[in-house]
Amino acid sequence: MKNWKEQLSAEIPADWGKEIDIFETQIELRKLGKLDEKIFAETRLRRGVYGQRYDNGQRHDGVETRELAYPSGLFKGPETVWDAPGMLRIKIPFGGVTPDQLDVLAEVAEEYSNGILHVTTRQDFQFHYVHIEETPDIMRRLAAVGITTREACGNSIRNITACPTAGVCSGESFDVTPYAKALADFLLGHPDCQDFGRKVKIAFSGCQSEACGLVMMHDIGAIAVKKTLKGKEVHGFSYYVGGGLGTVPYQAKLFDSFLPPEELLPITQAIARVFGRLGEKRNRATARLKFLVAKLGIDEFRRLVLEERAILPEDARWTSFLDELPAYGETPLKSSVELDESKPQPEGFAEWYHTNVKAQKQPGYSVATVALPLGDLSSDQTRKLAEVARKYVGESVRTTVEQNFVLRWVSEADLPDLYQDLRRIGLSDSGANTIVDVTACPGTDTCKLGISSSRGLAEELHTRLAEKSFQMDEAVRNLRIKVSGCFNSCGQHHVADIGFFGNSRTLNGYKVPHFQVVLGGQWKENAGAFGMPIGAVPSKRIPEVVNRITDHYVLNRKLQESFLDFTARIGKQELRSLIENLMKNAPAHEESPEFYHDWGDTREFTLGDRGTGECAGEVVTSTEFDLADAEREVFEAQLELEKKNYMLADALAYQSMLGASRTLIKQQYFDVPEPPDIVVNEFTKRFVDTKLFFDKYAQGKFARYLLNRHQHGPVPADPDSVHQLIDQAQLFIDAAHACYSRLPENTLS
Amino acid sequence: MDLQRLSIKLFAEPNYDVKQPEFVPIFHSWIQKQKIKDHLLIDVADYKHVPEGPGILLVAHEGNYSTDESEGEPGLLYQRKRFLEGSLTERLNTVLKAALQAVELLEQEPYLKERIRFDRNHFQVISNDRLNLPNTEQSHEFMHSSLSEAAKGFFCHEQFTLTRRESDKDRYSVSVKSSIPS
Ligand code: SF4
Repeated sequence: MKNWKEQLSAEIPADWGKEIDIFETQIELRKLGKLDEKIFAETRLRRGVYGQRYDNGQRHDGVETRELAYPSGLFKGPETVWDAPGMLRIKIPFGGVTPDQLDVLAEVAEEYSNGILHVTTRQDFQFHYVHIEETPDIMRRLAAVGITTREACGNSIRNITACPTAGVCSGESFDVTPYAKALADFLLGHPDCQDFGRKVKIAFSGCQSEACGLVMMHDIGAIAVKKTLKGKEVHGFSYYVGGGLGTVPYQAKLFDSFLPPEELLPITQAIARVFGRLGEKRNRATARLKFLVAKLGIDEFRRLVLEERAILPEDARWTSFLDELPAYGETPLKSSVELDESKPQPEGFAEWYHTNVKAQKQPGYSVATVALPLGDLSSDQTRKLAEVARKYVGESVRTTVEQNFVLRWVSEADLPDLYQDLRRIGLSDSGANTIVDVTACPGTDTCKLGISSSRGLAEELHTRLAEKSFQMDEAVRNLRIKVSGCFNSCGQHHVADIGFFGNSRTLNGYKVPHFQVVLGGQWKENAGAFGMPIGAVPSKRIPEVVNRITDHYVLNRKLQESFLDFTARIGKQELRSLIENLMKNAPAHEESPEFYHDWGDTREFTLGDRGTGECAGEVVTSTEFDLADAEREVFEAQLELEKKNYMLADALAYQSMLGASRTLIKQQYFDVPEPPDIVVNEFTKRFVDTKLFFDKYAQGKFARYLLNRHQHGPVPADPDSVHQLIDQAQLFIDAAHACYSRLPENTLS
Repeated sequence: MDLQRLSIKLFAEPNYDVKQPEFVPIFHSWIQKQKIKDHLLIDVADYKHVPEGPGILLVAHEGNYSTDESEGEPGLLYQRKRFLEGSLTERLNTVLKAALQAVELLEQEPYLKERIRFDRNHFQVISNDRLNLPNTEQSHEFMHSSLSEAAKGFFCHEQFTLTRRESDKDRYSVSVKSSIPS
């Protein structure tokens, strides 16, 4: 028998090969019980080997939660069963992938996964249902074509993303690709990046105004800028730190308005050192870089980084890549020929051309987007796409954060033939980068933390919107919808025009999948503003939410008014009133059982698969009522924030958390007095110390939102701080709902 | 040769009239009742949005089942993922048996009855091991006798053809067809 290790030894870089061999040994050691499961868990995560839903060895099958009797009895991490199939994430720096790499990815997906390649919202690929013993061979096959899974997950520097049109975009200052590549190569496995409390995400963008790089929502982001010095054009970066989505989003702060290229690598290294040294380690909930920057303040953070930078030992790699910059560039496969518009075009071409094709800055060339439903394509399609790429563009293929591919350097005259070839392989969907092109995280399909089915909802919305895209108003067509399966924001719902994140509510005594409707996000300006939730609506009514909001926009917008400006002008009160009746009046379970199921799932909805306890107890109407009251208060806080009444907004958000916690306390202590000190004391004693309020994965994070606000008093009267408190209050109330649904009956005392 | 990752596809008959979403509740009910022998059924995954893709996937520890539509030919694909024991013929028999089990269950599903039948005169064997069994004539020669044995057991006669698919990027794959219509 041949094996991949021997077969590919000459083609795999020696250090990568050695690391994979070590990982293979670690797998064996863990199987023998000679490697601690916690250490092994982080080890495998840093190799991109991730857990999947149901790997805790249990699953709710629609009737009850049952044990999945995996044979080995081994564990690959705390509560993670060895035999459970898992996910493998594959890093694709700046999304750049060649046809040869696509061929190997296709083969690997076919042989070890399920024949599906999934493109993520950070330009990675993911394979699902992979057995851990097979991951070293997968890694070897990928390594042989220059792809690594190293640090694709875990507390490490994740995939470095960049605009997929870098180098060909007419709006960019300059091509960020070689810088993104140099930084990715430099940081991969760097000793200064091995001691983080959480992951670090880095993005590059070629300009300030567009969305592609999404710099403002990243831990570290670099936007290309140029200026003239002594009559000479020089390149640099507007360099940002401390952004991030997650449960409570933070806009990145400007670290340096013009960071010279020779400082890009050392400054990032210095940040890694400061973060490794001062970042939170014990409490995951506050361990991202954004918390450290917020805690220290950007000025103090900058001072510490510059101090660190001054003492860094010199490294030739900081600048060696700059010598290669003049030679960097892509050579088009074909010469540029303009599209002959007088020729008859294939059916569907005009629509596809309109939405999926963008002219490059190089005359006669275009970028064509290959839209993937839910970011998925089959191995067979991948191989054929590689052939299409070889025929039209050579190596110029990239993945996008909108879970698509782009083919760059398409000679315009080739576009009709390219379209026909894509159509033959089922990859000619139009509507790329429009409302139809809904982005979603994996959600309850495969993610352990998912609450509602983000992919199910995204598919439903895609199908419905695609049907009417032809008669859609252009202003609506250009909106973005993004869906996350829970508050963790992997679907990037905060930066969509219309975003959704999954949660649940108890209605008529049953748990019902819901989505929070998030409005006010800004996709442009590198994710320049984050939206806020306006209300939780049952999943099955979300398509109606989209209809109502978009119809209202079409009918009531002012001339040329953007959706963001429109929602800001009419205000959250009016927007909420559009959906208010969808939030209540659930049909009886006997009449509409499907209302109580999630999209694409015929099982009764449950939170049990997420690991939280189950309770099918009776609904105490007054409790629901009280929690709804708390939700109303947090909404009013948003309205006050809109009016710039920061202190009042802060007080309302705080009040809403107090109200929700008092509601829970009343389950055990009905006559609990109202003074905040008493409420917080009782809440701490009954729900925090006992961990009753704890989320299975977020642990005590949500409780701390109340405790911190109570202890430290009002947050600073500025929009960012109040925005964050309101987000926290909303999450606190969601957690209160979840906690309530877990409480056993008859807890009144 | 210790060949492991084998797949079998059984093809739906042309009058097939089932939409992909209809398999979702059926597979969920199989998980509830753990209906497939020697398999730990885990989950259902929906890939109907991928043209000519795996359709609806029933994930099991030992191997996955999917209502596969690759090359425009609907059928039931069984992809073995865990260790197979015995000789090559015995391994082929094991995967054939696992595929047949699911096909029979689908045909017996009260909800689907009359709307789906599978062709018992034709199956496809795929090896998910390009390294040890590349898609070559040599591999085909190597597989011939074991495949013939397995086909004989499946069709209960010896009149069948074994045709290798020739695209060099595909995995080694053989179409096994009975020459005597049943
Ligand atoms: S947003 Fe939640 S459900 Fe979606 S992938 Fe992230 S953690 Fe999972």
